[in-house]
Amino acid sequence: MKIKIKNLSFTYARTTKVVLTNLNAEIKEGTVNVVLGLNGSGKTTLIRLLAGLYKPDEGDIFYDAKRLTSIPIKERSKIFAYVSQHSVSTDDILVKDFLTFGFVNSLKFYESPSKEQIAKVTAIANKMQIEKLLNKNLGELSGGEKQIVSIAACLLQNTPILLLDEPTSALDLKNQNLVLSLLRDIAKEGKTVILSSHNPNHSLFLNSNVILLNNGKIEMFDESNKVVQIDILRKIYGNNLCLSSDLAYKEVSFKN
Amino acid sequence: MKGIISRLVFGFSILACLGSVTSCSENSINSEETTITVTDMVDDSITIKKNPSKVACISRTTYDFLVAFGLGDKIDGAYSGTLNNDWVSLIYPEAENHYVYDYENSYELFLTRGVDLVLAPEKYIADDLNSHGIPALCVSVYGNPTFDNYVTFFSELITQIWDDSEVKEKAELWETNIETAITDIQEELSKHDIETQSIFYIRGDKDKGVGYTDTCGSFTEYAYRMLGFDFIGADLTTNKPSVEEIISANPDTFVAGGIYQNKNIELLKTTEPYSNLDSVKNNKVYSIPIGFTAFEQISVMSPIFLYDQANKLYSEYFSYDIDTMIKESINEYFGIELTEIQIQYMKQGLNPNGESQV
Amino acid sequence: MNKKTIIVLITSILAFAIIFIAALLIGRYPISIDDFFNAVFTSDAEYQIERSVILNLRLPRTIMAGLAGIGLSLSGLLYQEIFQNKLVSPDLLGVSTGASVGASIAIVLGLSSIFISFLAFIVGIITVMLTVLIAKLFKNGSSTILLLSGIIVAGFMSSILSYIKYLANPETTLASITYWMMGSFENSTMNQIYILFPVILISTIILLVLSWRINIVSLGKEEAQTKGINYKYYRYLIIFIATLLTSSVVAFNGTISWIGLVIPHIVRLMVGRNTRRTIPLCITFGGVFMIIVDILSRSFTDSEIPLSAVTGLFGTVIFVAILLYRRRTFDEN
Repeated sequence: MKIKIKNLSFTYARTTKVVLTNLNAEIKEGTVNVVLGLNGSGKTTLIRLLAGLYKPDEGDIFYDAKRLTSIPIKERSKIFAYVSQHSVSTDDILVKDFLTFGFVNSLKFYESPSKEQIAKVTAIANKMQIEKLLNKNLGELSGGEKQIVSIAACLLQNTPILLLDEPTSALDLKNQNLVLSLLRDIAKEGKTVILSSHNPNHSLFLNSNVILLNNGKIEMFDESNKVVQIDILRKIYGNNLCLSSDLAYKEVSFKN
Repeated sequence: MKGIISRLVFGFSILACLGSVTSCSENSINSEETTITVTDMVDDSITIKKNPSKVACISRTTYDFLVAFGLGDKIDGAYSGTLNNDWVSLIYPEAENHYVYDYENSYELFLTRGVDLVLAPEKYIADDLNSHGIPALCVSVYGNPTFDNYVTFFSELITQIWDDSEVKEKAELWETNIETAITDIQEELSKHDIETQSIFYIRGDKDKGVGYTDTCGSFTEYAYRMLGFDFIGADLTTNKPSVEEIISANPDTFVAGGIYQNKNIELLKTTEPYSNLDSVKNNKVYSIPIGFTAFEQISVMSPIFLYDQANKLYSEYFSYDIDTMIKESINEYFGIELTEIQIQYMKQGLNPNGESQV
Repeated sequence: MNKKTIIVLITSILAFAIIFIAALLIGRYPISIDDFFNAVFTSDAEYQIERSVILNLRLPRTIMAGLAGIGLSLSGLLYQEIFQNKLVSPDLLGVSTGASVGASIAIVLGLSSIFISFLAFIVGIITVMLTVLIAKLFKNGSSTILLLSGIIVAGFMSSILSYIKYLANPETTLASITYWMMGSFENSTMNQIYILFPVILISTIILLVLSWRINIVSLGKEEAQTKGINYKYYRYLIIFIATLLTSSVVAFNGTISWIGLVIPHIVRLMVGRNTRRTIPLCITFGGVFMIIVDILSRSFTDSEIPLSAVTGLFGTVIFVAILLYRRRTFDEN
């Protein structure tokens, strides 16, 4: 089931600056896709349009040939799971309670999570090595831990597509590596992952596709080893961009 | 440094301007007029003009005295609660020329109207007016600690303020009447061996139901004590006891006054748990006449109030001719001839047309 | 629900039952346990007054207090969840102020108490509708705008109320208005309860059924929507129920402050944030608290202490006690 973006344009209400202009792209099932670009290039907007938080001004997004805007909220939540850039505002929910929220679209209005579903919560916590966090409040977690918990909740939503808006921008180097490794593992299981990032190196780490945005248009959409090239990126990032091997100092990063 | 100095100079000059303006207030008493220093009901000595001709009767217990003693033309206006009574226009038609005041009024209002004396119901109102150059005396409806020494206070105060001999005559007449009433009733009561009973007074001047009475210091407390009763309101902390408190006190008698008296008596007889009380079952529930004012308020009709209540509460010992007393008093003080039926309406707490006032 | 919650819930239900009976026994008019049994379970004429006091005075007001406690606590909790702000109270969108305007209009017009309650209820609801309408003018669906709109409309209603009080006759209607606004269970009748009870019951049932789901609505629009909940629909439903609860309680009893703000906090201190737990506990805690407040306001003085005086004093003591208890158990751990 692929996602087809057709002639998509979007402007924020009460502004005149057009954020996205006439985008066209097809995202294949089971792929990892990183949306790259400068601040204000429309990365977050695109992710949020996919999540259904905004409606396109022109054009459409299709999933499996269905128009996204015509899919009801509940159905859409079974297709797309969304991790916001900002951590959840409520600090005093227990992690184990928060994780059960992923099941809401499979429960009737009078139901609450069953024993099996709670067991799934424990299982995924074990798998992602966050069992210690289950009885803590969200407010007690570090930034990285919060992101992992949010991703875990989305996994429990059991959707084919996972959307993440700048999942690592507020994290330190270690936590960035943690989250990116997690995303790589998730991708191996066959989910379609679409995330926005400010750092081209992340797409290399993930060995993903790249949607390179420039001023609201798609500059290029291809595999990361083809897009993350100096001459292409310099169009966006300017002429001072260079490879680490050309730098006067050594850069640190994580292996694998 | 320069900036600070200029700001300070600016600030001081503004304050200086304001300061100089505040000293511009004048005392409104012209030193050429005759003045008199009197003590008001809360023991404050105030200097006022003698024979004032524009009096504002804010205190409820002052209007009817002034009118009854022939000083009606010296009144500028009265409190709305006093004038808002269907009997006033019948007994004293000139009341329509009097200004209807609120409980609290602006200084400008009094000054514009040229009021030269305000009879205020509470000390804070009197103090406030006096400090703004408007002469005010406090004539409270409550005595401190009880009303015992204040029964003739206002009638005596009137004779101090106004020189007219007719006024003095009327005042003395009234004082004699009330003293006679008390003495006669108490004399008769002392002849018999009477067990002190408890009484609950339902005030009824506002729609607050049965649980609204008067406390220690009121004239009603004094009056019913003189009539040999234990006044339940005297021990209460507020004038709004709860239903359970009243039931617990189990009064031997109920008396109901004010414009809501008939409604309250009906309430007593028909709602539980009041209707279960012995006093209500035995019909020991009595009303208090209303005329120009509620009779149980200290007023020119107070002697008749005492006689009326004596009749009702001790029917075996007293049978005063209340009807004649009312008729003669109204004639004497107000120059109006009431019909028989009107007198009956007065006794039943109704208006001159026999309707309820609420 | 976990073990701790179940223990707290069962304890609070038991407390509710005990306090309810106690409320029938305690009061200014002394009734012993013997008298109580004779009055309630026999029709002996000797106990007519006791029977009357228990059935006509204490029973209606105790039920009313219980319902008011439930209604206001739930309403406070719902507003705090929906607006993601623990400092909001049931009067947030102006419902209490609006109800006061309705009641004062009815009082000035000299209408009977059933009309006073009716007008209070209607104007309370209209006020919230006005708030929602004005918020829509901003074309920004955020909760902050709704809050701001509520403050504006409540301020507007407050001014209207001041004006009505200015027009009111100080001898008669003004005193009645002031008295109504202070809040009291003194004039509770079974007829009022026949109307209020179904409203509270149905609202409570709906909330209990939705109690787990409300957690997700409280996460805010983005989270709720992407997890599959029609946020807009649920938000309006919850605002409607909360407003209905507050408006109906205020319509019959006048404005009662504090309880809607603080009972949810007390409940959260005990069992955490999960609405699956806090909603049932707000019901029991709210009911117990309000009945105790009613007992305190009427039993120890010859006239009734206004409810708002008691809720604040008593409530603050309880709140501090729970905070100290939590701190001690936290330190021990």
